Amino acid sequence: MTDYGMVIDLERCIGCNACAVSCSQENNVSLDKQWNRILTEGGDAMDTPEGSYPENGRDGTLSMNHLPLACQHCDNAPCVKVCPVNATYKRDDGIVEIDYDKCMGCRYCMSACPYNARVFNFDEPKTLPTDGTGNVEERKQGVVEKCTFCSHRVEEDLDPACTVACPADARIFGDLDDEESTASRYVEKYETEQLLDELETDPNTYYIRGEMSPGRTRSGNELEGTEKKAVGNPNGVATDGGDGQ
Amino acid sequence: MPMSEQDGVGVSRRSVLLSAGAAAGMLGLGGHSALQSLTRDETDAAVEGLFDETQVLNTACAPNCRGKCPLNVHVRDGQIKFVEPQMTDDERYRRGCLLGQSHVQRVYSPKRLKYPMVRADWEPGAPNPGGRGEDARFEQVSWDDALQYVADEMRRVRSEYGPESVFFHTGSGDNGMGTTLFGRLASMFGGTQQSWSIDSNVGVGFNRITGHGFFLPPTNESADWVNANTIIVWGSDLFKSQFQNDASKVLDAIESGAKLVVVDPVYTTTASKADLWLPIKPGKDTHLALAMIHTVLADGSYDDAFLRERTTAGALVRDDTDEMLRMRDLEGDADDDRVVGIHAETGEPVPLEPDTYAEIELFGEYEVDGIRATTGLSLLEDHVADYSPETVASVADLDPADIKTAARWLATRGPGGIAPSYALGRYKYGHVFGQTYAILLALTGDYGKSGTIHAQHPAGTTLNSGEYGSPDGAPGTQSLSMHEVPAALEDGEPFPIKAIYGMESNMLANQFPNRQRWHDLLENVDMFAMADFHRTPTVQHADIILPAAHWFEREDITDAWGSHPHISHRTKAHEPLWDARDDYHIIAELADKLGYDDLFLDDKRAELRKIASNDDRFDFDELRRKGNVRVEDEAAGIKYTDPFPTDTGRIELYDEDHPVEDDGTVLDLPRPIEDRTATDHDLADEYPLLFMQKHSKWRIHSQWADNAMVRKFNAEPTLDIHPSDARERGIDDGDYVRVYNDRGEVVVRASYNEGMRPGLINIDQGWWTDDYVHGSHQDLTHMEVNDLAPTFAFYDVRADVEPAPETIDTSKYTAPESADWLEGYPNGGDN
Repeated sequence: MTDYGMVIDLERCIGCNACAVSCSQENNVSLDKQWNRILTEGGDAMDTPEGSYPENGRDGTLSMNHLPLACQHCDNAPCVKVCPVNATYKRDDGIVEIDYDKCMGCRYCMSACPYNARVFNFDEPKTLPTDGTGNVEERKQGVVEKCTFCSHRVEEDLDPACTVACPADARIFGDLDDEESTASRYVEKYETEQLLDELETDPNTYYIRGEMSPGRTRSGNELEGTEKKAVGNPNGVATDGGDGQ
Repeated sequence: MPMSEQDGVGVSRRSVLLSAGAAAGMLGLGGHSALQSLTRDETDAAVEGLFDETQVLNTACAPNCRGKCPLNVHVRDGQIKFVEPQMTDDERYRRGCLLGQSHVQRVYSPKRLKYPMVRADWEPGAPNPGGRGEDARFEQVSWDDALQYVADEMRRVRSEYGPESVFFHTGSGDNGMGTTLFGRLASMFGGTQQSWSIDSNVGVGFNRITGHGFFLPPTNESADWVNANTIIVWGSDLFKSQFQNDASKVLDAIESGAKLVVVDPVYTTTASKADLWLPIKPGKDTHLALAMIHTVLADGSYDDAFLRERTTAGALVRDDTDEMLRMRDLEGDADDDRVVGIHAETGEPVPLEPDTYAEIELFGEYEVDGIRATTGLSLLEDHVADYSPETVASVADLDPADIKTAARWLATRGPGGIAPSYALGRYKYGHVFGQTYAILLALTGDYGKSGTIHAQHPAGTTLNSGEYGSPDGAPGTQSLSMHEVPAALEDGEPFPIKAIYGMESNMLANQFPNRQRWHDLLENVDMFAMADFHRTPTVQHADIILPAAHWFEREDITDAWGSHPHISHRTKAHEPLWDARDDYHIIAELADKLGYDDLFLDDKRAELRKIASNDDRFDFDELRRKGNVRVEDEAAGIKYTDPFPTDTGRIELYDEDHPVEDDGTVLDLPRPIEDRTATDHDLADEYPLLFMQKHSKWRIHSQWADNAMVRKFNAEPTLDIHPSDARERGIDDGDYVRVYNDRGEVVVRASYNEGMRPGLINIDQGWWTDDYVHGSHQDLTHMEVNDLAPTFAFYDVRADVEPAPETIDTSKYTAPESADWLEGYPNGGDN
């Protein structure tokens, strides 16, 4: 079996929002919505700390971290349980997905999700350009949507857009059922956290906190278990400088 | 289906563009888009056949950041759909930031310029400069007419005032070949080009010691940074701005055990990752570096072998002349200007050669042939006696133990370094800091090795264009520094400027301080033409508007100065929208109209091939196929391995030239000088707050300010202020406030930030004038520059803050019908 999951190293995350932007592009997310949010653990405003400024260079208590938050793809997903029309479902490969044709917009799933990972199209989604920038199914007014782990990319043997976009090498995507996958090796080696684990939702998203991991460097390391995915288009990379377009 | 058989892509692209042009439709939200109607039917098919239908083309992002990232552009149905980091020749450099990955909204921005336009009340001979500005109206003209106006005015000005009165202005808006092409025309015409008075401060001070640096000095390529054991990030939020694309390199160093020290008055994202944060008082950076030198000397932890081999630490300085003792001063040859040290065993004077170890005394006073002299290192040691960590801690509001810790990590943990950003040079006398930390790194021996760091500006590569910019028969250009331009505009000194053609620049919104003054100065100019792809505030202030192609709409070559060691290629993803043109074709046609028919080939690709042929490190056709080619070998990524380009071939700790600053301070050794950051400055009582305008992650300079994807996260300018400063002034979090001083004012929303040092306020730079409900950040800044490294001191500014007047209309943010960055301008490109 396959059980897709994500490891996010919060020690490496710099809150740069590259993953957030790439997610919205790839998935054609409305300009007033966000599937992948980079929360600041700190002050009220984005990128501000909590605590007090040092005096004479010492004794300050300022602290700040960033927490990228999207659908956690729970094994025991509360959203799946409450959906009255089975529009939200857990795929065999571990991805929680929504059938937009079935979704009737009751938003029970949004109340049930403890991660606030879902958004609802009260209005027609707004994108620029108008007909969208992404590669995914159109979502109409009145449906709920959220992160799909870029299932359309995963099915093409590509990493999710957020993973490709990250300049801090903080995200690793892979098969948690495969003990030799890179993602599994990171979970095995580093101290990880599943958010709100007391709720027993059993997310497929694991956060490294404490000791920084080496990140998934382009040059490889001992944690590499899965062959790295291609970027671009395996079928249609222009090798002619664009002459053939 | 193989791409070569898929001719439908080309057809649909062309028809899409024709339709869009004919309808003059906005791509903005709510507006009906021709692109939409033509592609909607294909949406379902496109999803199913995602990667059969999509072309992935190479291009590169290249604003003036530390990235210059090669990118893949996904094109489907003639439209750009997605952008991602491109695999690089050296795969350690595949990276991109949120800006590079939100180009789709740049290409399809509602603020794209569509047609050539001329200000309605401008005409040759009657320029009516008073009509410029936010209320100016424009009329659409043909390309032929627009460029004829420009050419005629350039020729008239040349004959009336001289060729130097035509100013060929560029900013740093793109790192393609645009500036190279433009320079060729400027050289042939004989006009004036500018040299920089921005960010050329710290590097100039560093240069006095090492012979390297103008902007920030060279530093090892970023892939080498993992080998650093101590990284002192000084006045830079490098995880947040300009450098975040290479965050992995710094993170890998931390993961490998490096100590990260951050010196910054603001608790930044970078500070949040630090092992040690020094929350310094603004303007005290030179003090701190001197205290670190003090610590290294007091501990005896300096690298004596390095000092003997590569510096003048042991070179004697004459007590009588304060100049270095030379062999000619002894009994040597009258031409022998080698400097002299005292051999540690023989006690005899010996000459010091570049990069040659000499067993010489580093400290002491000596008498040689009757001449009394002292080593440079002893002079430095005496000098820093006044800057003990304890003394400096009280000046800079730091803890002395932390100062010592930072110095000790740097000195004792192996290779490491200091990565300042440009912020330090935005204080008036920032060059003294450059001088100081160049000396500090010499003491710790951190030059010329893997793992040494000198700037937030890693080694990259520059295309060698040979003599392309100086064609046969060209008279060449005059040069004016930016800070000298006002006198040329106002007084005609050293010569008048009467016509300006600008490109890749939004100087009037962001890069020139004291904005209102520039508006006044420009009234002396008869013709101001701007080429750009967006309607920036600078474009709005022009007489003639030339709509340029977005980077993705043209074939080009980009290099990567200060970024990474690759040359990159840009493929044209589709034709320029509307009536926009590749800058190359604008410049080539202007050259034709100026009578230089043979200056350009009129075939862009042939022209690029011609430029590229000057650089034998890569083949143009290979570059086009691969998208990017690493052209620098690994050894070139380690800097300072050759003798230093100073008189002695060594790092010169003592500056015998005795440079003197405008206040009389002599800089034979680094002495802190402060302007407005001084607590006893004349303006300190009236304007108690120091006002900076830092780079954010949301823009590179003023680029992306109009980007809908970015504005989703960063919708509105704000003032970062410590809650204690705000409450003292009756300001709540989120209130609109007036930030003001004796030059101007700006109104923004206040944002409480516990990480701001009390007494310091910030508005992120890059916002366009119309993004403010009133004023601009550059209305408060000034143009006063130092003598030795004249650069605009954007952060050396005092201001105060008060609640905004009730009369200020904030409805664009507080009660918007629709966010205006999603809509067309009231008199936008389609009139």
